[in-house]
Amino acid sequence: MVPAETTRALLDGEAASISAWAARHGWIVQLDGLRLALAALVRHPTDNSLLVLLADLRGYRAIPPAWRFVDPLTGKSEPVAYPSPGPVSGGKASIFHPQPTICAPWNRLAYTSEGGVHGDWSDTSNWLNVAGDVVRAANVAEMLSAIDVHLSFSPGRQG
Amino acid sequence: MPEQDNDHKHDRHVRVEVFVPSQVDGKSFTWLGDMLVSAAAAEAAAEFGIQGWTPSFQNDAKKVLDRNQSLLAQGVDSGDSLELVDAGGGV
Repeated sequence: MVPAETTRALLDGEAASISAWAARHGWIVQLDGLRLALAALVRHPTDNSLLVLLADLRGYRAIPPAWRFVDPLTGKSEPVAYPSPGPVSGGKASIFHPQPTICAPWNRLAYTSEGGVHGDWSDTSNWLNVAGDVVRAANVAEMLSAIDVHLSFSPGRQG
Repeated sequence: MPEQDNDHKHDRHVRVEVFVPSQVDGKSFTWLGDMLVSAAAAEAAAEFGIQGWTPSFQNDAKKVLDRNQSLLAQGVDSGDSLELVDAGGGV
């Protein structure tokens, strides 16, 4: 495991870009450097309902964050907390998987070892080198951007 | 005359501010309006040192621009701010 101080220093370096991205896109993002966690709030574009996105950043960047949507009332990561998948630009698949999970190499929870569906992505430590036509993100702001892009194509919520 | 109008349209340049998620400050670009979104986005990605993306732009209305159309056809105008995004898919 990466020492917490190492991850904390990395996140300190990313904090300004995360804040700037959030301000440009109307997201509320709170980065907790002490707990190595992130919480974000955004409205779903079709029904204006509140989405709550959490990230466990422990181990970042040796391993990717663990991203999950949670229900704002129950705090549980269940289908209704997730955007439903809609085909993105060019007819590509959404990252919003009905498991439910965010299916991208930069989400630790997408890997089989963490309960996800992707046994083909080998180890979480290889997250920056996963092959194929997948949405890429190498830092937290890029991950938020990818989620925002796919959210713009989501027709509603799961569940 | 219509032909002159068309010529004028093809010569039109757009000056935009492009941002990327990982950086605070944007950069200005000037492109021909009939340049494909994919080509402009690739140029911007190279300028920002971004590799491996299927680059496109997201405009202020959150619309991800069609990479196969021109900037003008996708409604890009001078003074716009665009976010460079990866238009890659999920799996």
